[in-house]
Order: sequence, then structure tokens, then C-alpha cells
Amino acid sequence: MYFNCAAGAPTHPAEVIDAVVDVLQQGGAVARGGHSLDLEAARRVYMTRSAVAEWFDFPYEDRVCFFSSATSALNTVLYGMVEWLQSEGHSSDSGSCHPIRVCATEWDHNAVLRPLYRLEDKGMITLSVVPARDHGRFFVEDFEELLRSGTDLLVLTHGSNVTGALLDLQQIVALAHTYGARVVLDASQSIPYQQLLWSQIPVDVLCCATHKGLLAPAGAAVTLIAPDTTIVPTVVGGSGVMSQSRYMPEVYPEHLEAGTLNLASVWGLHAALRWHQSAQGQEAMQRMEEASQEMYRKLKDLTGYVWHAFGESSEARLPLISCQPQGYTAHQLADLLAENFDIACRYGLHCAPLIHKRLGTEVEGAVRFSWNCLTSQDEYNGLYEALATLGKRV
Amino acid sequence: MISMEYGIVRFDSTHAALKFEALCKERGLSGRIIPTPPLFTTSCGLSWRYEMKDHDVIAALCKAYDTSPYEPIPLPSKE
Repeated sequence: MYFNCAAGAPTHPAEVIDAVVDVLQQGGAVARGGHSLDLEAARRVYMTRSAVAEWFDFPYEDRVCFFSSATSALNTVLYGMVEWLQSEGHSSDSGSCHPIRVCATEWDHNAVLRPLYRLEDKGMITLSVVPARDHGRFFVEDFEELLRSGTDLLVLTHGSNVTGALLDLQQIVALAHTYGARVVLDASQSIPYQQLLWSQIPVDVLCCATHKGLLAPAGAAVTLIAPDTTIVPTVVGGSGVMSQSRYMPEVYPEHLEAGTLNLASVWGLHAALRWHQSAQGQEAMQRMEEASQEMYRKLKDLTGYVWHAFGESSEARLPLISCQPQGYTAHQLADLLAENFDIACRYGLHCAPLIHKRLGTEVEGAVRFSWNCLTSQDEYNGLYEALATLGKRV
Repeated sequence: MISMEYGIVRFDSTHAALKFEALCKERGLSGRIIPTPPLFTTSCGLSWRYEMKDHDVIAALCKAYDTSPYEPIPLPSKE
């Protein structure tokens, strides 16, 4: 029974597995030759870019870039955007190189925080963090205060990987743009559970892992870069084009895709997107939503646990929930579940230390249960029964 | 010597080449991707080779979709 789906999918639709196997059996080199196999490899990448652009209603398919992970994407985006903003003189009217004013949030993952801390240590940015002081959520006025006082770049996490709560993205992105701030969004946990259309919420950069809820293989995170945004590449090298130049080509997507793409993962992502759009995928998502509501309702009534769930159980949230067990430490509960019930969960800080500090769980951590649209009713029942059994022992 | 049979469209990205291929296929225009001849160094490694009878349609397609910064031109034939 696998309840660590916010970290990665334990299994994949058959179509995704078939796509990966097909690449491994008859792959080719993307953008590195004109033979039919190499062209077919390049076509698969092209089709996947188009499918990603279609998914997000993003009209610039050439500005869909693939990275080996969302962490890799966020590193490139944050370093590269800060360098670009500095070169644009955003931080100072006089054109001198003042630090870029960056605002992050307490929901952010270390994939966001650690690059920002490094930039802060180098004196390239000043960093402010929006507190999740509304019981782990945000007050919009806290964003507005920081934006009004001067922010060049706002980095947002769509949904908390610890509490499952979601941001009112439309309102906050609009606010940021009103005050002239650029917005980078980490949507790694929220896709495909939340519809996110760029045409409605035009963030400047969107980064998204694809091996979690999307059920693609790890290795092909996507980044969407708005046409008026530039990212200075942090990784440079072979691009297959403009080889005579000392520099990476200015044209996207090659600008940010030095080196060999992971074709098996990219093509697997294509199959995953198509699967989600199929009747089978949509039925699975509907089943998950119904099962999620039941889980929130039943778990919150269990004795022996303090749940980090907020608001009404029926409100939109990610398919995950975290708790503090009473009578066990977080790691003891996780070990009991693994050893006695063969249940996988995630204990600790979930690479999101600031929200744990806010919740008062930064020392012990919490236990998180996360599922996806392939989780079976037997698994939901098994988790509930195991937690009920252990809760009664306290 | 200039061949009157074929022209080529050059691209500055592989993505643009593949996009142009898809656009031509959607419209039933014949042609295929070929390695860019070494004479043209300012492009990605791939070009679209088309029949010269389609030159005007191809030129209009290039302009409409902004897929290439280069004009479609006749392909020099082998000596």
C-alpha cells in the first residue's frame, strides 16, 4: 500500500510503460542527426512539447523546456532569471548592480529555498519570505505589503506538499503583476489535480515535476517560459544547433536544453498526458476525488492523531494529508506502518522546512499520506484500518 | 549550378524544423527533412526540402508561422 505518491508514482499506466519500452527498443538521437530514427526521436520530443503546451493552454510551444527534474529546472530558472534581471537593471534606476528583491513563501520546497539562499549568500538577491501565519495559510495582505514595498521576483508554490492546501493563484499572480513583479511558479504537486491554464494565469515561468500526479517517468520535468522572459542558462554545452558559436543559441527551447534529453521520460510524459485526457484517466481522477473526500472525513475523526488539515474537508486541496501521532513519534509511526502493515508513507520535513517551523513540527517532523488516481479502494481501506488500530493503542 | 527542382527552408532550431514538417503534412505539401547542406552554416542541422513548384506556398507558410528567420531558397544541386 503506497501512500507516498507526492514523492513519486509507484506504478504507471500501461501506455506510459509501453512508451518507455518503445524508446528503449527503438530510440534515436534527438536533434543530433537526420536519419529516420533520429528524426522520429525528434518528432517525439516535438509532439510532447506540443502536448504540454496544449495541457497548459500555453501558445508558445517552443518555450516549453525539458529538465531532468523540477529541482534542476528551478535552479536554472532562479539563477538564470536573477542574472537576467540584473543585466536588465531591474534593481536600480542608476543601472548599478543592486541585489534583486526576491519574495518567496513558507510553503516553498528546498528546490526553491536552497537556490535562493545561495543567491542571497552571494549578495545577488535580498530575500523576503511570506509567512503562512493563517494556520499554515497566507493572508493576501502579507503578499501585498511585500509587493508594495518593492519586489522584483515572486516565487510561489501552488500547493503545500505538507498540508495539501492550495494558493489562490489567480489573485496573487494578478497582484504581483500589478506591482510589476515577475512570478515563478512551482506547480510540482498540483498538476494534474488542479487545472492551471496559462491563458488565465499568465505566470512568467512555470516549473512542474511530471513523475508525481502526472504519472510520467522521472526525468522529464517541464518549464514554461513566457515570451517576454529570459533565462540565462546555467548549464551550457551541445545543443545540436549553431555549433560554431561560443554561446548557447538564443532560440528556445535549445537555449536551456544543453546535452542529451531523456527521450524515454519525455515520450513517457506524452503517453501520461494522453492517458489523463482519455476517458480512463478522467474516470480514475473522478474516483480519486471521491475517495479523497471520504479519506479526509474519516481520518479527521480518528482518535490518536492531530491532522494538519485546514478548512472544510470538501474544499479543493491536494490528495495528501499530514499528522502528528499522539503517543508515537513521526518516524515510529512510519516504521510501524511499514513493518506491520506494509504501508509506505513519508515522515520528516518533506524538504519544506519553513512550513514545518510554522506548524511547530520542525524538530520531529510530521507523517504524510499521499495518494494518486491509481490508488485502489483496498489501499484506502487498508490505511484507514491500520491507522485506526494504531490510534487505539495510544 | 542551381537546381530548379528543389528548394530548402532552413531553421535555427530543431523544434522549428519539426513544427514546419507538421504544418506541411497537415496541408498535404510534399517534402522531407534533410541534413542542412554545409553551404548554409547559419541554421540548425535540419532543413525542409520542398519541390520548387510549391515555392510560393512554402514562402507564405514560413511567413505566417514565423518558423524561420531565413528566406526559402532554391537548393544548389550537386555538380
